[in-house]
Amino acid sequence: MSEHQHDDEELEKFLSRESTLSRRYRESGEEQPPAQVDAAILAASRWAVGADRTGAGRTGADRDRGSTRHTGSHYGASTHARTSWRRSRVARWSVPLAMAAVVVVAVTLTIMIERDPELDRIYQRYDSPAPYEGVAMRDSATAEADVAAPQTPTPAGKGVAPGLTDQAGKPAPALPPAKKEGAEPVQLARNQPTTTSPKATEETVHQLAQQDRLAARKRSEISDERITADQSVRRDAPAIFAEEQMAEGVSPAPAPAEPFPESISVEIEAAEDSDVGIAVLDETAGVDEMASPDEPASVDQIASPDEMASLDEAREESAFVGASALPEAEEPVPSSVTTPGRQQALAPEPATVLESDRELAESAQPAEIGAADSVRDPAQWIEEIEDLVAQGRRAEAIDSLEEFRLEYPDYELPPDLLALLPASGD
Amino acid sequence: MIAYCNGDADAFAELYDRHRGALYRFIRRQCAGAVADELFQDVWTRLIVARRQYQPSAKFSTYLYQVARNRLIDHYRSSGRSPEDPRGDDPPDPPAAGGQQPENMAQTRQQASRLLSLIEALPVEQREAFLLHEEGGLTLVEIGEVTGVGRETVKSRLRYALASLRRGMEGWQ
Repeated sequence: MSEHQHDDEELEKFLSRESTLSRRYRESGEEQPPAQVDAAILAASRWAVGADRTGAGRTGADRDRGSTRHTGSHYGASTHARTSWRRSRVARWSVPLAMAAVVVVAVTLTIMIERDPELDRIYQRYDSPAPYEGVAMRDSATAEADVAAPQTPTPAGKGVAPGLTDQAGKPAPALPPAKKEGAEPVQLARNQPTTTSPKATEETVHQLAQQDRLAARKRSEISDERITADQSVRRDAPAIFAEEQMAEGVSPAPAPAEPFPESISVEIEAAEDSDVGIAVLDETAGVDEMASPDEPASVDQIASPDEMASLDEAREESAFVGASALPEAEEPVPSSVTTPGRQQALAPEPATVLESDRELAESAQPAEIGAADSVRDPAQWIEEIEDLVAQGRRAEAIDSLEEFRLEYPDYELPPDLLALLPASGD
Repeated sequence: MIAYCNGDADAFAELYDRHRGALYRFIRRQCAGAVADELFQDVWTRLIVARRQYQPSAKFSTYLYQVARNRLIDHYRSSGRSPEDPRGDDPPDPPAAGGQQPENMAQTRQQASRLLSLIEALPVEQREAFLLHEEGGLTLVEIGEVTGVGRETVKSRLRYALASLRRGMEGWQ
């Protein structure tokens, strides 16, 4: 009992810090935490407060986890606090910096695109009138000018402008714009009946030249893309020229194995767009000898009014003579012949043509026959041979007869012509 | 602590300066030196982390020592060491004969060392109650709140602790 009371008294003294044990315990020492620990804890506390002020979008628990991730070692606590502070600063500025970079890049690209001359050209190209619009304008102007022009009846159906009709009254198929531009005067001229005098023909030729000048100015605004498209069309030019010369009676020149080089095509384009506008490519002289305004005589010969009149008559006659020889009216006609002068330039011997109408008709007739050898009527051929015999041209008759025999070996010849052949057992 | 939760870092510094020594000794008396430093820092870190959950329903010292006690229990569990043997392999110094000690400052130091050895040798509940009162200045009720026991239980633990210490210090007086 007394011991229990003694314990209670001692406990009371202990709780009032008056006991001997309490005094001696306090005298045992005042141990303090290391300074590094103090610094680490205080730094962590300050960082936590700073994170509360600056941290946005993160929960408090996340920030606290981040702030105490490496606090197991008091030596790394302050370093961790500094690193975390840097991270928070980077995270704070990362989004605005990214947005600013995107804006700068977008503005730079926009400026570069707007200042790109190539794109400006493309825009102008699409803003400019469509090629067909220009062609339509030229078609209408040329059609008005060609009403009074001397025309040669030619087979229709080869590149008539849209909306126009051929001789048979059928709507003609449309051609590509580039091809049509170069050939439209020819087609219009061919599709019109001959209604004017040689005087009017000369005036019409001059009007056509003026129309071509105007069209050349318009076409000069057409872009390179258009020229490229034209070049692709003109790769077939050799074949067209070959057909033209076949129809005109010129001996067919060997077609080039390769299409025209682009430079040549461009020259052709430029020559056709020149002031003359009726330049003709003379294959015998080579493609480099293109017509130029300064050298009209070498490549383009415009006939005088008298010559034009005789030429028109010869044309009519030759067309009449060749009508039976040609298989059909749809035979292609040289598209480069736009005027009588151009037709003359393509003729095999222009000087001979200008001598007389007869000679012109005779020079054109063999060409038409030669062009239609494979489809000549045997009866008509026999009549021609008999005519030759009647005219006393026996050698020619024999040659033609031998040719006839090769073409039609089973055809029964008249006895008089059979006698002309050498004795070969036939 | 409320001021610190509102962003006043200086309030935390003042709070820390007020409790740092006592809390450090509270931990230091129950585990080895290096571990005590780490646990001490960890306790304060937990306090910083959980500052938003702090509710001023009791004294701050009660809250602080409760956190420290929980951290010590975690340490005991993780290390597998019994809380009854906080010094590990360091046995308490054997009591020396009283007549052989010189009466100088060294005697006082030795008596203090002896007392500390006796405190560390106390059962964890008694040691805990003793340290909470001596270092934390907690009353019987507050000690009971921290340790989760009643006032009388704390009183009993303290009575046993004082009796053990008094017996151990006989001959050192």
